[in-house]
Amino acid sequence: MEDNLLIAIQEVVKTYHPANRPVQALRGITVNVNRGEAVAIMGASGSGKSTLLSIIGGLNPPTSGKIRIDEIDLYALSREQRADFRREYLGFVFQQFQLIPYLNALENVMLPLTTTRYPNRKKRAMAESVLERVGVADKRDRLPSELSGGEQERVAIARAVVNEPPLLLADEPTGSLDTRTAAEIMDLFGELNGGGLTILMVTHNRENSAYMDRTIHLQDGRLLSGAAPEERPLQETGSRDGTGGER
Amino acid sequence: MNLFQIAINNLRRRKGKALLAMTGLILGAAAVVSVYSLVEGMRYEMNRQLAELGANIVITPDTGALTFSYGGITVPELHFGAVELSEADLDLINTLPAGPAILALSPKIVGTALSGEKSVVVAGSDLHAEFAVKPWLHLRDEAEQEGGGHDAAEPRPLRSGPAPQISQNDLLLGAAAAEALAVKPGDSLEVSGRMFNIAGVLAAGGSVEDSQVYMDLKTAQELLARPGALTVIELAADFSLVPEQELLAQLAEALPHARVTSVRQAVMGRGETLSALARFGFGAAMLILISGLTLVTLTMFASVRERTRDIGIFRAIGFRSCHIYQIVCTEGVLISLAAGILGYHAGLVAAQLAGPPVAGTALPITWQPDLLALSALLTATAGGVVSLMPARLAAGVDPAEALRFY
Repeated sequence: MEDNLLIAIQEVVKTYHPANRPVQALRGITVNVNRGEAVAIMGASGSGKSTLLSIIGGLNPPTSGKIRIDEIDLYALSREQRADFRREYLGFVFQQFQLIPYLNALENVMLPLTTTRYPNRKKRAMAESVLERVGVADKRDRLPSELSGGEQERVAIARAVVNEPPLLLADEPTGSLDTRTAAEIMDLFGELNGGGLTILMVTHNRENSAYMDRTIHLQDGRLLSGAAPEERPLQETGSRDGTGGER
Repeated sequence: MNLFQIAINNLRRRKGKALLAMTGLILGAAAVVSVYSLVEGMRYEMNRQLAELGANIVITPDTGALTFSYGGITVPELHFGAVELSEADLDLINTLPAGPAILALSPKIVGTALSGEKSVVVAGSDLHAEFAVKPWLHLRDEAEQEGGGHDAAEPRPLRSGPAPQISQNDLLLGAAAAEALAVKPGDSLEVSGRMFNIAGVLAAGGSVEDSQVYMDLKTAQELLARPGALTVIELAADFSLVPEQELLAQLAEALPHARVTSVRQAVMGRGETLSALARFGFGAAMLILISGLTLVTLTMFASVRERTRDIGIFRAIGFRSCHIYQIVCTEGVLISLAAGILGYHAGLVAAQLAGPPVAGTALPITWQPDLLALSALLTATAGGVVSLMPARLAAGVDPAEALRFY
């Protein structure tokens, strides 16, 4: 089982200090995620979901605790090493798509490849291939402002997976989409997960969590359920059978 | 897709801001280029006018306390045992490294002789060279002869007269000398027992030449019993080819027995005024340039702050700090490079427009590719340097904060 472990989160605490008043966003979270798993992180606003995702993404050092991804102690790395790590290991799908407004769809997708040593032709081919895969190849020359919400989301997903990372982190990816488009996007996540990609997705939406293998529940920075895959069979946590883990 | 393209795309998207940043720098570069072009044009024009004025360097023997004045230059009388100038010195001058800058070289022997009972100043010279270093010399025409000559109080005309052909038996008289000796062209005149033909009379110029009797150099050396000797060497030089101080130094080194004097001292006051003006102009232009660079810096800072979210995305997907530095500095360099090129051309146009009212004459202000390259290089470098601070701010963006993960 250890060989299959991709993410090991141990006793992670995160305390913010807005206006010198400490606020504990995470209070000792311990979670494991296996390779190829699709995990939803749910909780009310302020429960610490996005903070946990940013810590796993190497963007936000925890106050205490450890994060190991593929055996690498993430916060033992320097700031610049963590940037390299993110480029190689992680794909991000942010809230509100977060595409660069002055780059077209193709250029946005090529962004994570910009600092690699691939020849430009290969970068372009990789980006075109992944745009094809997410179904917006015909929109590659359009600026984000010329794309619909669903199309922007697809471009954001293409950007996240273009460098073929083992782990995809998504923060409320369907938050601003209509139900039908959200379902299409979730199908796309399902396809990517089916290809072996590990997915961690923060979501408010119970329907989205139904697409995941299991769901981690947070409340006031504490873990309510879903800590480790081996502790809870898929059927109990709810999943792609549509029963939903929370019911 | 590379970092350069990201920078280019951002500038394209923010054309207004890029133009605003460029405007200050264009003004700064234009100010520096226009002041430089004006000063260079005025210097060139001053040198050209000086060259028109004739000899700019006079070489005399370095000896003696007893002197007489010649053409505004004090010529020492020779002492016994002193080293006088000779024709061998001409060869030394012609072989100087700065030789190509010498436009004309006029050797001369000056002395006194008797014409009947009257004493005359005899000047033996190569008249072609003499007319070249003294462009105001010209033969008196018929109207002047009839009208009584040129008023000595009037300024000398700045036009070169034709150098007359004279033989060893011919003389060319200054206007005052001709009047004192009561002779005219075609007459004969006896000097130190030898008969000469009067080949012509010079127009009055109000200078020492008016009272001289010009003759062939060799003839004068024989007449004064000083074969091969010279009293004075006058030369005209183009100081745009070789700096004056360098030519003076080379002459002094080659002719240690001679005194080398720059006639340009008389106009140095004008040159110093120009230098003071140039210093003031450059000071003002540098202030404008610094203001332009400050505007670039502030605009870059504003641009970085506006793009905090974009930079957060770059960092989140794996851009290192150095990549962010590269993007921001590339933008700064591109803006400054464009401003340098546009500023150069604007400065050139400004100098061409401002030349006549400032200098009182049209100045030779031309397109100089080396100055354009220098302007572009310096502004681009300055732009890159002033972008470092905004780039540092950008590289320090916390992606978690920028993407509102908190």
